[in-house]
Amino acid sequence: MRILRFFITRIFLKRWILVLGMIILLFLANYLSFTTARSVISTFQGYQEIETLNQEGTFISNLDPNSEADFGNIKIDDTQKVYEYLNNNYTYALQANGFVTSLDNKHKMDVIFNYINEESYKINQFRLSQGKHLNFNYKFNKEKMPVLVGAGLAKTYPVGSNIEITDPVTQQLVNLKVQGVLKKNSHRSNFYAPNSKTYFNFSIFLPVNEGFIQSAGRDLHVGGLMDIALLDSTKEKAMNVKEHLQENLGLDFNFFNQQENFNYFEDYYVDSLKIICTITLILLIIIVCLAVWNNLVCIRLMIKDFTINLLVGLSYSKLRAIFYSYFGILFSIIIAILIVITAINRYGFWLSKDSTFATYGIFGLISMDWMALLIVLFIDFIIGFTIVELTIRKIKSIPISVGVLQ
Amino acid sequence: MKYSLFRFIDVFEAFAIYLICFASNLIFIYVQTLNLEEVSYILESFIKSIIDYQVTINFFLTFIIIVFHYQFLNRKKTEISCRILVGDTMVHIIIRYILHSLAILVFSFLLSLSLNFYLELKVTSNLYLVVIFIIYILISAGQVKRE
Repeated sequence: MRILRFFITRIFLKRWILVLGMIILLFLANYLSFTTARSVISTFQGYQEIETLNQEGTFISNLDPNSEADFGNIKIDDTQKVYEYLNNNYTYALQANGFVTSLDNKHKMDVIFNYINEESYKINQFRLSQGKHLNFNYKFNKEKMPVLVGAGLAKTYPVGSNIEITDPVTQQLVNLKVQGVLKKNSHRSNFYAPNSKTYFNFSIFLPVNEGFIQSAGRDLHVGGLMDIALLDSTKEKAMNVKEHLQENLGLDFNFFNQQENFNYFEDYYVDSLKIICTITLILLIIIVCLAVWNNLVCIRLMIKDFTINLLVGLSYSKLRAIFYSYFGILFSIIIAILIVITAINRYGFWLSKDSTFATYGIFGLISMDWMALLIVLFIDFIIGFTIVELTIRKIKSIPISVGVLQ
Repeated sequence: MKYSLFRFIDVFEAFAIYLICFASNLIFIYVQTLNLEEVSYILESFIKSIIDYQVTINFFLTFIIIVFHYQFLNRKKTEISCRILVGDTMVHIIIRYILHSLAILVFSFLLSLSLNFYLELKVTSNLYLVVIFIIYILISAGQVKRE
């Protein structure tokens, strides 16, 4: 320990510019691997979520990106007709997210109303920290609506409490009864951008049944159609819905089946992830080369100190241990900086009152961040091993007498 | 480069580091001109998370040049002493050091221009880096000392 302190304070820190240069390079390498690892993990998580929806017989709607949609001309009667048709002939999963309302809460965040029907609720399998799951057999306007609240609202609206609010989609005063609280950081990945997630910590989930759909406004009707999934269906039946939507609403929807979606996503993910990993690998190699150069430069300047210490009894294995400890300390500092930066970023969403991205976690970091840090740690081991072994090799190749003379 | 403190390996190192700095700056600018959102959202958001810190990353990379000058001048202390012993003067050594450093900088800048033309970017994109590097050279000139 004493010799390590001696080396760090008397040899390395004496040339602090080189140490700072090394910290900067290793930080760049760590930041890059952290960003890549998190991106890959997040995409993979999103992919797994989509896989639960992407089953045989499921057809997911998608507004044709090449068509021109005129939402202004759509009338509520037309959308009601569409839902009547769907209710009578199909089983479908419907989820419409993102209806912002202002509801008092401890954190002064905007609260987001999400509407979900029974089929979609079954597929999503939300996990609760308190209370019971939603029931969909209530009578709209006659009974209190059972709802689930996000973890951020649990203290202001605990299980059993009532919320009276004007519902944004029916524009009626509704009475909500909190039936359960979602687990912290419950989220849903964006279907077409699986690495971006919407967090439900400040959301309220309202169950949608036929009665509710009839009373709801056009916004929910049209919004619900965007990601609607027909279950236990066939290509033929999906095409009928497509035609029905075209006739009544003038909107051109595509309904893709499991295989089509699977092929699309497979290409999309694999290609994107391949490019991301290649970019990272190339940049990492460049940065590690610079770091190796930086360390060899250190050796050039410090060889006199090293050789004098070797002369008075320091062994190469001890020198190697000193180098490993030195890099261990550098990496620890860098990982600490990385944790602080990530925590500040996450905390930024709380400060900007961004309720869809505000998350809970240890030191402000969520599980995805910790997993990415673990991968970074593994990459650091490889980088550290490469640099230290090359350095020791270099030191060994310089004869002690030459080292002292230099 | 007569009587220069720079050996071939030093010229090569400085040249390579300058080029890395220029190239990284140009690639950052070039990537912003691409419309990645249409290609892939995943790729776009990944690139964006790096581009957001473009200035910091570029600045960090220029620090490697400081490392180069620092270690170079430290290594050359003995050589400078020897030169003074055989009749050279400190002022001449410093002037030659500045001129040679600037020559390497200008040469690598000119080479980086070919990347500018290849990527069809503005010629002035790298000029701010040149100014930073000139400041580094002038500061490091104050560190030319003998043993």
